[in-house]
Amino acid sequence: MLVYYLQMIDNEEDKCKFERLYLRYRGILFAVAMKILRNPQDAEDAVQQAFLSIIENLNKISGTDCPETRSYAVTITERKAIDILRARSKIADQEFDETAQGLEIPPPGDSGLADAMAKLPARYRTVLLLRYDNGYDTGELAEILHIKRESVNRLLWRAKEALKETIREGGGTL
Amino acid sequence: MNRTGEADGFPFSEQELRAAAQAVRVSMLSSLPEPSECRPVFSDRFLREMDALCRRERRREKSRTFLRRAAIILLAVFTGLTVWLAADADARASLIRWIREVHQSWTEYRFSPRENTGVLPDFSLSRLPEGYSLPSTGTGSGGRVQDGNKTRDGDSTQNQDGRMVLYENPDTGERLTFGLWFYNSSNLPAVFSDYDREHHTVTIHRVSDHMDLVGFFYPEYGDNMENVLVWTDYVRSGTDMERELGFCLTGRLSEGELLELAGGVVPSQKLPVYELTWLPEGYAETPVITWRPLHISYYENPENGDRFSFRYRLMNNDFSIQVPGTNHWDVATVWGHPADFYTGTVPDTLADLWGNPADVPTDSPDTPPNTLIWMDNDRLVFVLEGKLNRDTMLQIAENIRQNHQSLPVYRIGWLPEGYQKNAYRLEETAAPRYDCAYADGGGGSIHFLYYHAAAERPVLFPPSGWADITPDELRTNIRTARLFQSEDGRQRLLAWVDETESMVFHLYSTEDKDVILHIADSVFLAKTTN
Repeated sequence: MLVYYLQMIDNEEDKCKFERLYLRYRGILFAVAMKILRNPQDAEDAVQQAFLSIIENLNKISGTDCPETRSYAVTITERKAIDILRARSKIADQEFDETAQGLEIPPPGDSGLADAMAKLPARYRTVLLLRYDNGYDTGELAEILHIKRESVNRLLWRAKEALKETIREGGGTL
Repeated sequence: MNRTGEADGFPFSEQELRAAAQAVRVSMLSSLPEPSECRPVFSDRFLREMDALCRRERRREKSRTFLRRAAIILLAVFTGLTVWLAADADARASLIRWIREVHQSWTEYRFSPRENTGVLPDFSLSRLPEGYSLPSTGTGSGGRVQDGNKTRDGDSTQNQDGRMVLYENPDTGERLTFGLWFYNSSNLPAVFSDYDREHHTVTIHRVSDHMDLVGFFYPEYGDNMENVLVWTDYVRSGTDMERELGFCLTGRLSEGELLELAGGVVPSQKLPVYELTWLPEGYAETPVITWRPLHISYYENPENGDRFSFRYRLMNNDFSIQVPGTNHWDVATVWGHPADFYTGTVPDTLADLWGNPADVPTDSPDTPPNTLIWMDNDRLVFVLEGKLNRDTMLQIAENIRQNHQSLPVYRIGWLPEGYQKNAYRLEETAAPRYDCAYADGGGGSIHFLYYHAAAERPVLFPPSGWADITPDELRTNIRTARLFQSEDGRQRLLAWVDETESMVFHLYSTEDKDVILHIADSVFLAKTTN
């Protein structure tokens, strides 16, 4: 007898996966966007764009109510909020320091790799979290981040170099 | 320097990065309020637009749900899944690996990813510069490889984390090394993290998928003052998760030459060797080329033109097999493994006439081919497809055997001017067929392959539509030789059997008959075994 794997059990709960994600996370994503943008209209835009990105990659999301999914949604929202900040500063013809934007993550407290990762600028932290916590491969990262796969490779390389530099600056050894 | 005191590219393992990322995630989420605590007042515009988005997604999910329900019902009818899973731990394990999805008119087989096996994927150069020899890897073709402090003919240096192959130009004595490592390996060469020596960023254009990779070029590096090109890439091998690999080319070649070689690095995926040892009466194998990582061979009955194919390949996460039809009339076993047999999708008129589609005669022009598909424990999936009934297919399948014979080494001694080994086809000396292609850059091509003859099988009839143009003189000199020509007259195939060595040879070419015969005359035995 051949083995069959039932990829998704079909029931009433799974019927509106996106809707469940939206209802569960819209509040916290708004809070994340507000921390960065400090403007409710821009924060709503960031949340909306984040959910659009979630729709595009819905098949990559397993559970709707698990830490990995929450982290994914927060990370995407942070990225969308920074994109809006960048666009805003271009319109105002202002300098934009990307490394200074994003959520402030409390150091996990290992005095090593995790602390260094938490200190990284958002764009590097995002790609490392999506890769190493959410487990997305470079092809999936390219789809999620809307960049070419070779750009994902470069970004990962730069993120790791930034990690090494952060550890050295903190007096750590590699 | 890393914690073990050796230079490396990135000193943290994948597991350490995962643990750190998880710790960061926990810290990040704990600094935010719980989702249930966040109750902002959204604008009407936002609520309206998100509501529209939700309605759209609800509609999309409804249509996906319908198809999934149809698949689940079909599966439930044909399987005693719960009972079988409860009884068989291996089945539960294979459940994770082998996913079968039934769609409206086809069935798809694919894999879900597993943990990394820790096996270093194998890559090789698809071409070598003029004058350089391929590594022997046991064939004694002239390549020499480095193992510690000594050089020897034979295998490349390999340990768990890295592999390095040394090529040599016997005329100039110049060397070229190609190596690859897991990027977090402690054996990664120092050059990967040498930021002090002169170097610059380069772009490697990978020919196989036109992707650009970033590399670093170090001119006149190290004691040997050789040029070094290093780069990294994320690769997935089989059903392993993605891993970052570091690649390195070293030699006295120019930057441009090294970049070109780097762009031609391809995965080497050697398939084990399986052959059919029983064929239905009248069938013989057609001389058709197969390519890694997929093996395909075709068998034809010249009397009625019926054909069937035998395919196998290593399954991986990027690949799925689609079997036409969903008329899955029977399950079976092959070598103790579960197998599925499909009849081709039968037109309604025939189905009405015959009642049970399995009763439709297989030689009816209206019947598409049937398919038998199964998988072994090593992620190899096998497919037989053709107008054969279930019992015949099962008999063929049960008589498939793995071939452990190694090939002797034959080489072509003479080629027309201008021909070089084709950049995109490698010699494959570990498979049952030696397969090598040459091109002259102007549309001319030569393809040389040979394999062990199976004694029971008649051989040497042409691909469909090709004409036998064997000169009488050739038949006289070599009893088994045959020369065929394609319908459009552009290609010729010379095939012959060395009955002493029990080897079958094929020489495809766009060249004319006399050139092909000259090439065939120059073929010589270079080494008796791999």
